[in-house]
Amino acid sequence: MNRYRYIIKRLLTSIPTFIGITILVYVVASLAPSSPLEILFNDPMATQAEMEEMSKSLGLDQPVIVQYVRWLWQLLQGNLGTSIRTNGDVLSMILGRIGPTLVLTGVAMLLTALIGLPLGIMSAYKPYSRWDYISSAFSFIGSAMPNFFAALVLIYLLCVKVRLFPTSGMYDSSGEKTVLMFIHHLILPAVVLAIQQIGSLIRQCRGSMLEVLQDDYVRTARAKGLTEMPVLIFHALRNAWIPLVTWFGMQIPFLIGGAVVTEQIFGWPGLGSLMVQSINARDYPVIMGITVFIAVAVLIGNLIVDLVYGLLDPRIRYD
Amino acid sequence: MNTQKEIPANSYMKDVCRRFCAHKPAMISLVVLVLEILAVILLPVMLQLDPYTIDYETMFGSAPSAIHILGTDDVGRDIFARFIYGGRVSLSVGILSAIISLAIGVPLGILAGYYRGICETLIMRCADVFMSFPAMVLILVLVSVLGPSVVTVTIVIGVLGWPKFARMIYGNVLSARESDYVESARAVGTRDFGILTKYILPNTFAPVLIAFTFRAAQAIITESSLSFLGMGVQPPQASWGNILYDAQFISILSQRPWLWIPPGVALVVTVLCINFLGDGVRDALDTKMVI
Repeated sequence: MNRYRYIIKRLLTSIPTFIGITILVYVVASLAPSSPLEILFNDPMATQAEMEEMSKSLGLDQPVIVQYVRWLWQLLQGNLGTSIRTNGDVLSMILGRIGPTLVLTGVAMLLTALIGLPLGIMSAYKPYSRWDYISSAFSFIGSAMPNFFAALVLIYLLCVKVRLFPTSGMYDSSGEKTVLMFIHHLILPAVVLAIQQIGSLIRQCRGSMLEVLQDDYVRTARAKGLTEMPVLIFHALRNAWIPLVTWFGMQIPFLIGGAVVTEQIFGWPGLGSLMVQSINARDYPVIMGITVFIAVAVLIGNLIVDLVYGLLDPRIRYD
Repeated sequence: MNTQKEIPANSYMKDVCRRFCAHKPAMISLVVLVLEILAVILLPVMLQLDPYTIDYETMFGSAPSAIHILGTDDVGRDIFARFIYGGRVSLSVGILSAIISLAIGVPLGILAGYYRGICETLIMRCADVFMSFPAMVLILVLVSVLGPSVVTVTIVIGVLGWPKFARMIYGNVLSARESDYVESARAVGTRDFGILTKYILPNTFAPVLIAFTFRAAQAIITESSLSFLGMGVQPPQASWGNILYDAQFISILSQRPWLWIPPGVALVVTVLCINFLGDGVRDALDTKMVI
């Protein structure tokens, strides 16, 4: 099977997963006090009579399947409903908050790669050395650290004891919005979000590098007189990539889950803090909208990771 | 060199125990966890701790003193008592929800792996669907819809943890069912039930045990995060996460570190120990590894 047919097949198999996602969200939404269709067409200004009228026109007396299909049809057209709390359109609320979340999770991912990969490679290069012990200790503690506790400790040390960083928001209250100020506000939440991931990446990277470093082509590379740096990066890491890419793919949901907590603590105006606000206000249209949105984003993320394999490792056979 | 000893019948389990005992971090972790569990069970009885009653004689939000060794909270309850009771809740939510995940995931994994066909497609596609939600997001939504409490938090975390177990068991069963020993069992007429319980399940014991420890650690983190956000265990009941909830206020965070540092450190230590324990078990059960 050639690569293009694989891509098409992979795209097609994500359709049932997408439908599964919508069914799951629909079932969850059905547990809420009002039905998913009502949630979708909720109008806070409507009177009781208008509500009854609406519920009849929505076909709430119809079988669940019909209701689900109507709801799904609206979703596909981008109608995620109206917020109970702000009365705004859910889709545009989500789109307005997606930027900060993407920046936060993107920077956290970058930090993870920039710190986790070198530490993991070094650990594997000299296993059981002092470096290895230090980075392994960091990796164990890092992955055991709930990110809200990491946040509290860092805020306590770096915002309260030493006033290095601001505690919340994206910009300060002066009204100015400079890039420098943005970065200054971004550092702490991004570090907090990255800590657990770094811990996990160090172990992953150490493991797959250790395996690769014993292979023949690494010995060959050394034998032909290459210095250690190119051996590690171009010969070893190039082959240790595959499990690492899988790892990055699997971290997407964790990263978003972590962002919910982190954004809430740091008052970062992204999807996560919108989620927590909506949950506190029982604003079901927004809650459901974000849930579908995030699940679809994860689905697409996994799709991309799967397609990237082929580019990284031409040996992969698609069958 | 060539004195080959008689190998006793139970040598495997002995070997595993010996390996486990040789794994220092795991042994230390086991001791710490046992002490922790004993502490949350026995201390409330021994010290007559009371996490709910308000002490009107001490100032609300007081600093540590002889009577309240971690001080009192804003409503005058003893923080040490809440810390210990919180430990009870956090540890039991972790363990119980991991048991729930296991109880759902393992049978489904076996069904999918052993009987294949429509079971396989249905179950594994469902696992894919569940895995495409960030666990935290789906748990938050479900808990908020069902109403937050210890019971709903435990059940929701437990139920949503099933795909990890199912996928792992599925993989194991899939390779075991093609193996020679299963083939020969089938050839002599062993029924499916016999094959499953006698030949396939014992082989999945090790990975399930390891996955169980990591699941419990993850569940403890999830519960504490939920409670920290105010969506988990609700006051007056205490959990390590909801004690930390108060530390969201900068005044408490900066002026009363004795309130939030103990539960936070307890969380990290617990999760760390469970992870080490899992590592120890993995190394001990890995017969190919030589110590």
